Amino acid sequence: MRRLLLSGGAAVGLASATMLVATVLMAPERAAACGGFFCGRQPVDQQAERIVFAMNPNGSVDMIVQIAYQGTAADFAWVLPLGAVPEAGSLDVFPQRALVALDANTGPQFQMPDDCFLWDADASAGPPSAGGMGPRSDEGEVTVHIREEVGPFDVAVVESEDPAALVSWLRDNGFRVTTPMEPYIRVYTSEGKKFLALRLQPGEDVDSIQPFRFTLPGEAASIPIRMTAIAAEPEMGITVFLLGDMRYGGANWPDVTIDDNQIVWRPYTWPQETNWTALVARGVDEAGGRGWVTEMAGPTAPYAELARSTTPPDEESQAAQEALLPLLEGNPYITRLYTRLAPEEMTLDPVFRRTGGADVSNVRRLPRYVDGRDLCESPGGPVGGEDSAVTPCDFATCGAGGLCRVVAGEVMGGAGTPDVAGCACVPGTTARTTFDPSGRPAVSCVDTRMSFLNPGDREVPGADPLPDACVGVSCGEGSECVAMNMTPTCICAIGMVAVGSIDASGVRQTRCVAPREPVPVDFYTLRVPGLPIDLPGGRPSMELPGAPPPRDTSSDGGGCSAAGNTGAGSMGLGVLALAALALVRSRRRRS
Amino acid sequence: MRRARVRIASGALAAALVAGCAREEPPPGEIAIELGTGEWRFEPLVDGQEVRMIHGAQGGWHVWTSVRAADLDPDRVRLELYMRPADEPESGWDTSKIDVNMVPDGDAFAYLGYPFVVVSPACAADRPLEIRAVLRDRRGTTGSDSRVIVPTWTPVEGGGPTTCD
Repeated sequence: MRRLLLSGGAAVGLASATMLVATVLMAPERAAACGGFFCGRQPVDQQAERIVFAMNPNGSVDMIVQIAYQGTAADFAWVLPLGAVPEAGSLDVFPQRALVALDANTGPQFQMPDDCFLWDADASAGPPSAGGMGPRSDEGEVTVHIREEVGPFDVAVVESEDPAALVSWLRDNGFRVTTPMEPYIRVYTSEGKKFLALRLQPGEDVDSIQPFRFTLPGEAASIPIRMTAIAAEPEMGITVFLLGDMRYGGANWPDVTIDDNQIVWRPYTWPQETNWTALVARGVDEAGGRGWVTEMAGPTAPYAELARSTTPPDEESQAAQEALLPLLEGNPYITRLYTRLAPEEMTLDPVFRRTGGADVSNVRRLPRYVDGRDLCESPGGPVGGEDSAVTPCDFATCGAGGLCRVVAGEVMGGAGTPDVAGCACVPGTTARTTFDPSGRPAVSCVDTRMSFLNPGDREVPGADPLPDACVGVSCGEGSECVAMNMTPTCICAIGMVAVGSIDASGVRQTRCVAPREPVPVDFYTLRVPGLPIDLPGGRPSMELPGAPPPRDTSSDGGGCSAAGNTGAGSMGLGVLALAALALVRSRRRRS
Repeated sequence: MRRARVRIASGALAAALVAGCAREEPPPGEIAIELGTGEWRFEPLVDGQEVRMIHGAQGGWHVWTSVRAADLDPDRVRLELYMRPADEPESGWDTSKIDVNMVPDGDAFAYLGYPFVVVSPACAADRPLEIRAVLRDRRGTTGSDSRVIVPTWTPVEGGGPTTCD
């Protein structure tokens, strides 16, 4: 389980949840390929969290949150801190297909350069977008504002000044809360937050999980992102749709602008493969670790018209249509924001505001030349293949503290194997294999202090000690396996880079290999900055054996950057100064 | 006397929330800037003006805060915000320091719509609050401005305490 949830039980794991979403949600979309609003294009970031806000004229905000989960029904639990009790009768489920359709129709669409003629140029570009609350009750020190059944969920909205009492109540009522979640509950409780808790009703299966919607009093939409850090993947994508009377943007996170002339793309690919999501991740890191890219902004009318005029091919699409149309017809304007964040960057809940400003088209013109490379003349085939104008590092995001280096294909699989991206990680971070926005294995460097479920810990009081996830795992000669939240990760020896892969049984693997181009020695003098006093890590930083002493960064204004990096994956480390508690549950996606 | 507890939320661009430094005095500014309000456009403020507090959907109350300056380098400007009860200045300033990018706004540059959080809205409502903004650009040029506002609010059920205790 991941995202805006406090997961319960042993079943949570972001990557596995991600894969479930990709499998369950995307395959039918591809299979349908029927055109119209509810089938067709797939989202650019298939792994992203999706959140919809609709601003109501009466000063309330509708919030729709996607829930992705893989595990057992008994272990499912979802807890979201709220500033206020949702409006009576507003709790409901929302069709997943409606979220996917909204995402697919408003997401970036890439058009080929005018002077680039490929056999599938038109197809690659794709068609342009048409353009009941129960009575309040006090149970001990916990106030139960709502307790009701909503769709497949058993739902509670609870509040307490005593975080221990709140945790006890949740556990006593079947909402599983693990030990590492308790600090977050303490923080939000001290801020007077309420908690929306979901679990599956007896007899309900995980397949019945749907997005959840509710209405909150208040004019300014916000995301309790700090809670997300508990179960977030490295470089997790978040797509936010804001429906209202005009364009919206971030109020306390900066705008990040992506230069279309830096979009690297591959010819002969469908859907059009670009490094858009990697550019967003790098742009956000360069902005200090938080920020929003406005992927589109404009009137809802064209989307409402397309949705209205589409004949739903099945009952699921019809339900999506019925759910979406009131949102699109009731709000004249839609803004789509996108970001990619590491858990340690989730330290400030983003607030949104009206920004005015011009419309932003979701259609982007691809450049023919990037950094002197003619992408139009690049041959087809895999990234890293022979004579390719693009490299794997163009599409990689090693995360803050990571440096991308190309690894020769023969190192990975023998002659004829395409080159792949590898990540060198600064001391204090470790390489973890996850999935990139297209669902492929990728490596990200994660802060070793951000592990809160370590070998020997007890997940919940009375549970058995957790095993060491590194037992039987080899990262390669001279490298070390480190268990991060029950997931094996690799601290590679100096000069080596980590490469991620999926084995035949679907288990993710990380191993350290030598890159084509050396990693600068200076790189290893960098360190992750200290954590905020009030947000301690889960354990001490784990240093790379043999690393040179840290460089004095006092003249850098307190920050540091991966100097000397070029190309993809080269990111500043300043964002790590904003590190927060992060917990990534991953037992079911052991790599 | 009641004491209005106010605090500024941390903000944009590598937001550097300076907790625990709430008693420092704002530095003087060299050039003129203008402190105002407004969510998506700059709205000038005059002393004593009532400003409506906004209730966030995730809880909390804030006032939209905007600043405008003509003679500053607009990229990566350090914005320092200060707030204290105007009728109880001895209680000291609450502060926040953030790095922002200012955007063109007519013949000047502006940073718009910062959610200036009021921790205890029931205590802050209907009494004067002094807000001061200090901008410092990369060249070291600084500017400052201050206003006394009177926050107003309409309590929301479930939106926190409605009385100042």
